[in-house]
Amino acid sequence: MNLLNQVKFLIKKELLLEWRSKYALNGVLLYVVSTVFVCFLSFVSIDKITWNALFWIIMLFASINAVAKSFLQESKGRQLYIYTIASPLALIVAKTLYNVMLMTVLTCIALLFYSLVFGLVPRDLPMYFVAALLGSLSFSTIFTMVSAIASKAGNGGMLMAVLSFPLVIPVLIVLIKLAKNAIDGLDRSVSLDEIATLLIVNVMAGAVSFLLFPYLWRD
Amino acid sequence: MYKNWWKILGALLVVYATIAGIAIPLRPGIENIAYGKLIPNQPLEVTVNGYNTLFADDAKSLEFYLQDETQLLKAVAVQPLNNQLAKVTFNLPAAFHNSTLHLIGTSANEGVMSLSEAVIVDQEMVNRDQVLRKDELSIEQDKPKHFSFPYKQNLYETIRNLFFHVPMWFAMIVLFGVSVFYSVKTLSTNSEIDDMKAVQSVNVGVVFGILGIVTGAIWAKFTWGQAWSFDVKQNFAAISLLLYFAYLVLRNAIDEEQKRAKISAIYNIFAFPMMVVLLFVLPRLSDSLHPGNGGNPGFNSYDLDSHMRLVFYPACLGWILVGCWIYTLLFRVRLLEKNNNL
Repeated sequence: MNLLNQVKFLIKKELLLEWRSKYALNGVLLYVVSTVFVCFLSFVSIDKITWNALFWIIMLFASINAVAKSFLQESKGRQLYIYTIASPLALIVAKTLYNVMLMTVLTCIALLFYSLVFGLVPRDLPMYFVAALLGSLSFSTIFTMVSAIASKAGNGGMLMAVLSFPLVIPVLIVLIKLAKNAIDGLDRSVSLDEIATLLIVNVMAGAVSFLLFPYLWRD
Repeated sequence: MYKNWWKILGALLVVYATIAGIAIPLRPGIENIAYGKLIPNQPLEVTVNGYNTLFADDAKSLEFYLQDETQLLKAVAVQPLNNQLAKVTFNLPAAFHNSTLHLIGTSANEGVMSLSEAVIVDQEMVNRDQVLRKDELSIEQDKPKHFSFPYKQNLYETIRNLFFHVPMWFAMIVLFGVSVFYSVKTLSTNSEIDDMKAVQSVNVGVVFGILGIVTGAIWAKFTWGQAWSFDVKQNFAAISLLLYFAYLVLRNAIDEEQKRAKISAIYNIFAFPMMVVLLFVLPRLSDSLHPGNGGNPGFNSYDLDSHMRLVFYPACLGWILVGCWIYTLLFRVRLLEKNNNL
């Protein structure tokens, strides 16, 4: 109960901070929208495979930017303060959950805008939506932990990319395959393998980061 | 000496596997065949081109058969030209029309050799007067007569690469496993020694990974046609190496030793399950040119026969032990360097 309460308060704090500055949401939204627009202007017409790949590349960079700030942006003093009043487990759970929420909202808006601009709707839209949700879930679990590691290591953004890309490539490959199945409107039973793999990877990444974070935060 | 038995064992096994893997000959096989003149209603004459064969020396016991799923047809005449070439004559019955036949050769000293899909029968080849007959193989199936490796179409002599390519990956996985073990230990003990062990085993593991990719690329160049064939396993192996390069980059980015030990240990533990997913889970979801993936049978049932096992298993064990030995050496050198600097 104590942990749950702490998580609740920490998420509330994140939301409040976000609501006050609206930096992440607006900044990343603008980033996604302008990237989509640039892509549209340079491609104009596009085939399905490129459409899919482009969407995931845009989402990858957007989520790196959105999630990286969760630890990199916190000042040392504020981190210290949070650590004295909350358990590290609560902190990482709260950050991860908050990032999942943020990424879900972002992905939905991005998907909507992306298919609107390019005028291409996947055959199996609900399935593509599931893929997008799973994508935002996996991006946020993996990137949250990596951003914690990168923020501890000192030189933020560059290290974040180096550390997280190899970790996220396997997830990205499965995601692209799942999304491709949805675009082609294949039977849903075909994609069950990929969904299971993604869920397993997420559970694994979540469990490992919850286990390891308590060791990470102490300096 | 008594304590170091495993190093000696590893070195001996590697030497054994290298020498045996290179020196032991392939079993005789049929490389290809060439047709003679095709005259309707006449016997079909083909020239068989053998590899590692002794056609002339075995002339007495040499027999050839054509086979499809149900029928077996013995050659009516076999005339060896030299040890590699033999002229073989078949009387193809009309029943064989339009079927794809495998060529099988047997001899007393060399056992069985075969060429699958050797002859695709068309109108010109069959002899209408010939009725179908059922011959039977006169020699016991498939017992190799001496210690040798199987002859496989499109692998040929590169089948030996199995003893070098695959053990590299086993050694790499074991070394990365060792490194994760010491990373976990680092987190609980905060000892610099454990951290040093973790990073040195990653260093050696990365070298083994690179060797695995290089041996694989050479093999792929020969059998698949391109050094980098964009096979899933190739790509994922490269990505999992990137993971460990990122680990090494992360270490370089942090100056403070205690902090470096802790943070890189955490990244290492985080990366290991991802590597396992990359190398063992994802390749099973998609098609691969590697045996054991994408519906291909695993290599135990496919191209590991009893003679290859006798070299392959020692090679794996030997390379793993040698990898661990190199890692302990590197670790000790680094420890001495550090103590000297104090």
